[in-house]
Amino acid sequence: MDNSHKKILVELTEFTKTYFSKDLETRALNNINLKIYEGDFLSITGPSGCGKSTLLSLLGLLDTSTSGMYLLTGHNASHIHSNERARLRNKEIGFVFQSFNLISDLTVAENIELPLTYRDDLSKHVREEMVRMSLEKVDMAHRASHFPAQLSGGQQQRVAVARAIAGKPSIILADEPTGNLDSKNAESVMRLLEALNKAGTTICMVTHDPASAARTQRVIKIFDGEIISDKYNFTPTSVAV
Amino acid sequence: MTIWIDIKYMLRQLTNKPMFTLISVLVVAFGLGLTVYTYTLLTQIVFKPLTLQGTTPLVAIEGEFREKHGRGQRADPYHLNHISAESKLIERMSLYRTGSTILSDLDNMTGSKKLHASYSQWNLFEVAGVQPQLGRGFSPADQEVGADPVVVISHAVWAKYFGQNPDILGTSIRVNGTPKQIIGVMPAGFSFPAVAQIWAPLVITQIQTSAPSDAYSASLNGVARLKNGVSLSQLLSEVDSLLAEHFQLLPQEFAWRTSSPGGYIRVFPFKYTDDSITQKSSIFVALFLVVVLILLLTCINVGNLLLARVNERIKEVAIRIALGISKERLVIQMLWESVFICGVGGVLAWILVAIGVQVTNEVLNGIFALSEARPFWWHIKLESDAVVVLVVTLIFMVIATGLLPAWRALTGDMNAILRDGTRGALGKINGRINKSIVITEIALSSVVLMIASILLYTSFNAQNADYGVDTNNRITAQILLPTSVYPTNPRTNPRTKRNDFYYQLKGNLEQSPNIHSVAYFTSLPGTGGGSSHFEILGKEALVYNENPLWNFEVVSRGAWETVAMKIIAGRDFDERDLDSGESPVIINDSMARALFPLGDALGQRVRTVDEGDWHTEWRTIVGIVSDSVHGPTMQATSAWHTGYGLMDLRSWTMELVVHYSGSEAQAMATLHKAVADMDPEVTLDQVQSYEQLIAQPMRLIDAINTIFLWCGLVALVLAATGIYAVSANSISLRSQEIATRRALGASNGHVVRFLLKEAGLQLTAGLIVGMSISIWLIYRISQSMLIGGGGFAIGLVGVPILISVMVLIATYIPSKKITSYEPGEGLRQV
Repeated sequence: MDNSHKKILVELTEFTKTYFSKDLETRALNNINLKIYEGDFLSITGPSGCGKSTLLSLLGLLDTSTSGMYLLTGHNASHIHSNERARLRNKEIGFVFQSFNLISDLTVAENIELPLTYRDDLSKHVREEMVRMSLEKVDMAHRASHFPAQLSGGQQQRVAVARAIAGKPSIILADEPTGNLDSKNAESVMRLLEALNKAGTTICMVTHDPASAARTQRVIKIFDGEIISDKYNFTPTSVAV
Repeated sequence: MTIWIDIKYMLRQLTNKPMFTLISVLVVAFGLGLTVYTYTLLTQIVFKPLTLQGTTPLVAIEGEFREKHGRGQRADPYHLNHISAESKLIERMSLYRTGSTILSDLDNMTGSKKLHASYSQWNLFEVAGVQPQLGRGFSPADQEVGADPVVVISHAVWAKYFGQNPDILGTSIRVNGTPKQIIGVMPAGFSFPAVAQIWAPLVITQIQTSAPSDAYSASLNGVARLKNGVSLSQLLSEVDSLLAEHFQLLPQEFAWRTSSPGGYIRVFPFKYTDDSITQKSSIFVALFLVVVLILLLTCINVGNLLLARVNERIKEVAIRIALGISKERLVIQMLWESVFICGVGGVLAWILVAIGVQVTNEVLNGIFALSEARPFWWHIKLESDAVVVLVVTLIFMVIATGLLPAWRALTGDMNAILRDGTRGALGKINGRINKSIVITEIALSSVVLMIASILLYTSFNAQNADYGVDTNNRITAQILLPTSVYPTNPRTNPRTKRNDFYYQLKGNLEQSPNIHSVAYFTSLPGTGGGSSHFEILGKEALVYNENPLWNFEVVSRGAWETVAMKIIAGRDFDERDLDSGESPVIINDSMARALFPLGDALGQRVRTVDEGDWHTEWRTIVGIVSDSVHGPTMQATSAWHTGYGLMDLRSWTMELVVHYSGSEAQAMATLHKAVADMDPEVTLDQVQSYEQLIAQPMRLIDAINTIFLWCGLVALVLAATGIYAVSANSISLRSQEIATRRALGASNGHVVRFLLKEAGLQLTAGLIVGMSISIWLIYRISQSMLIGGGGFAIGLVGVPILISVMVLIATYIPSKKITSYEPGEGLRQV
């Protein structure tokens, strides 16, 4: 596929992650080279322990690589100070976790507002407006004042998606977003992600599920810490939210 | 078999974590040890009813307790006899009074010896249920008028002064200058009513009075044994109604007894006859509450440590549940660790208590070495009830500390834990429980530390207070003159033999090159205390107790220089005052400034007044002396306003103070020789330095404060480790939430600030609760102890600052630790 006209959001070059324990060295990722373009909806698949979640953690700046280069929206994101990584995570990346990771003490609206509160340049009014818009996008505006425990799993994941998109990040990283959901809710979340992608959001999703992977434009397969396949699906499912 | 498997597993778990095991065991040992020790101390000294050889409690029936004096009063035997005769709830009752007497003319010693004496109705030993081990007790014939004077002596006196001579019975000894025959020796350890070393019968006319009397010398105390199954409150009601009838028949001059504040006659547990117990009861209650709080603190700390362990092992618990373990078995597994930790801690606690009891007895020996006034129930022993308390508390601790982790194990979403491998997400209920634990820990710690620091500061301050005198190079002593030779004459004959003796001794001593001067005080500044109302001529209040308060003491002529006090206005007592027919008085500076602000104190006339229109003679203020404080500065009964009367006009028992140069031992030797040369029957008692004299009334408080100090130290260690462990555990439990926040863009600074802010809110809540409880407790304590501004500042400002620093450090360190990991680690924590 010709991506020459697309903007590169993420670029990994000879990216390696090794875990060291007392007398054991485990190479989780080995010499990864990867580019993610603006508007991509890609899935990373592979068997358990192959390194896909590690890759997502590194892409999300939740962990640091052992070696290699990472450019995020053109900024060198490898080996930068933790505060700068936090700033980049907040501004450029949205996360959707398998187990939702909503904070039980905060309401739906407060959970969505949480990443926005870490920015200094947003007034309360602006933050509220951004929360309202994200909630509308995921069709959860009527649940704004509920607590996570009052929502179904599918609804919680929609809130997690709303939280991920609230700050208008460059890319959304989703780690098995349907892994904890039944088929109906999983379908609903996948449709939501597809719709967001269609609206221009770049999404990188780790999944075990071949059916979910098949619905993304691009599928990367990892085995033993190496990319063994990087292919485009030319007919991604087109849906509306 | 399964139990053995569980025990082996538990032991393996504990040996794998030796530091955790050690800390947990030590926390239990100190917390439990302090609880059992304090229980033993308080029950034996204060709360446990005194039964002696009987099965039912002994109760005291006495006069009112004068708060301002800090002393219980004796009562009119006219009423005590009525109660004794009419009560249906009392098995036996005896009337008595206590005092001191002089034993002289002993074979194996020179000089004489002061003894604590009991003068009682013949049946005192019958009420106690204890009879002499040698000879006989008293019979009704011994109290008849004209009966041969007899005494019973204590085992200690028999051993110390008569070499346990088996033929002692029938021996005549000189008691207070009068020959009396020994008829019995009491068993070892018996000194009932409290500190008696010698017992003598009262005369029947002193016991059975036919009419009411206000004379102090005629007043007596009562001790009664309750009938089986009768409670103190039942006796109280009965006595109230008996007295109500009896008071109706009183002549008008005694009518005030009906409305005497606090009741003219009190009925109370016998151990409260010790005035220091009554006076300090609020401190004992405070101590008991503090120890209960420490026990709770211990439970929270151990429970939290075990809870943290379960959180660490939650996946293992989930696997066990998935493999089909029953709830009961899981709870038992969780409890085993608690049983082991509490069990080993309990054994250590018992050893600590045994050491504590031994040390306490040694301290009490020291406190009462000179005065020999240690109530016989103040010999602390580890008894079976302490074992029961230890075991019951251990069971409580096992349940309290074991069930919390078991509950956590049973209520966790094991499916989620097994599926996601997440343990760092804190549910809403768990989160609230954690916050409650932190708040409780802060509240309890602050209460214990506030009370301990306030009491310690106050006690330290009292020991270093300025009592208005110079105590350096001064020795003090009590001089006991046998009343048979030196009678207490009425003031119409001022130059009594007693005062002649005092002044002659003063003159003789001042001839010695190492003695500068000698003076006599009824109570020296720094000691004594207790206040009475007095009225100023022309400014009398309508009701006696609306008049101001003062402490009245008696001094010899030319006394001030000996203790470095100074006349600052008017004059000192002199020869003019002996025959003038007036009663001169010198007041201290504080009193003059407070009550005569116009500077017109000199020449004013004052007199002490009391209920029932009782009053002394009018006394004319002739001088103002520099300030003095009588009694420890921390004691509520201590007096800042004192008036001094002239010794020559009275015949009171005096304390002697000697200003010397050279060695203290030499000064004491000079004093002993001078007294012996004058009259070998005169007894010098409690010869000691002035510093020791001032420290003496505070020794009990010091001993209690030492316990508070230990409570404070244990609480500080418990608070420091507990707050850190609770905070660290709380943060650890939120590791996934924190990782999520960081994944969403929170910087390390955001996370630390967020956690500190939450800790700040919990700190505020904990301190509000803790300070509220502390203020209530301090209010209670301040009823019997004066707490200075510095004490409040340290307790109510210093301790909250200390706890705040501890909480902030306890939050900051785990916060920094958790942010030192990559957020990815927190998100996938197992």
